[in-house]
Amino acid sequence: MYTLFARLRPHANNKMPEGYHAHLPERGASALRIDLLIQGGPLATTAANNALAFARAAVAAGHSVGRVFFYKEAVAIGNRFAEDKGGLRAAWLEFGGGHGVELVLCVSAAERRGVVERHTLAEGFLLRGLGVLVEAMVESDRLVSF
Amino acid sequence: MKSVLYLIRQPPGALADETTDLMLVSGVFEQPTSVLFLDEGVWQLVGLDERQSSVKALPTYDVDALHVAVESLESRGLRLEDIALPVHPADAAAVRRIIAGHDLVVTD
Repeated sequence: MYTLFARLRPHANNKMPEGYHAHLPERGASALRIDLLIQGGPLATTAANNALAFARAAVAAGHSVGRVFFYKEAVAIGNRFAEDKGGLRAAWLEFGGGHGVELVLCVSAAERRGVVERHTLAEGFLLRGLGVLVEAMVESDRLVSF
Repeated sequence: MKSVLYLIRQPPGALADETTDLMLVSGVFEQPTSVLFLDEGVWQLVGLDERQSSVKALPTYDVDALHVAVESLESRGLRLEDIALPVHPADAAAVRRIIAGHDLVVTD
């Protein structure tokens, strides 16, 4: 995972240094649609942080991120009553809003953890079934799991 | 249709059950689906007669093949006979072949 992230990490000026990653497609030329699956909880793991860094790097490298699917403990990101100490939820919402990325929580995983529509669900997140994740597997060029 | 391999490395429990739910949905969507139980994941296959587990339902939900890493079994003192499901034993070379042979690998 880290290898892939490092490969996609843009240079400070958002341009790949000469010959740095010749195997990556040219910006826009054969850009990939990448969807993300995040399963690790925001308190116990850095899964959502790593995924966000990856997503930013992917977009900077000319790819698009279509959908981010939060599953298992990761759905805690969408609980509006949970303190957002490191600003991770805000950062995801900003990234999602800025790049037209759908932020989806698995509805059953969320329900199991008390994240429900019109009560605890934070604005900007959607609740969807597992079928949406399976759809993402079929439709995207890459699904990257964190 | 892309073929999907679920790489199961976590021990049984509520979180493991959530991955099983995903595998069942994946199978129902008629996506070619296989599962490889590796490392601590092999515990999900033992003692199935004594507890409730949706793992038992996998063969009936169009999940094509269940594989288990024999090295993971052996290092935990388990045998194929301890598994009450039709699983294919896979040695290290087979594990590499199975992972390489799928379009998509989803971890748990």
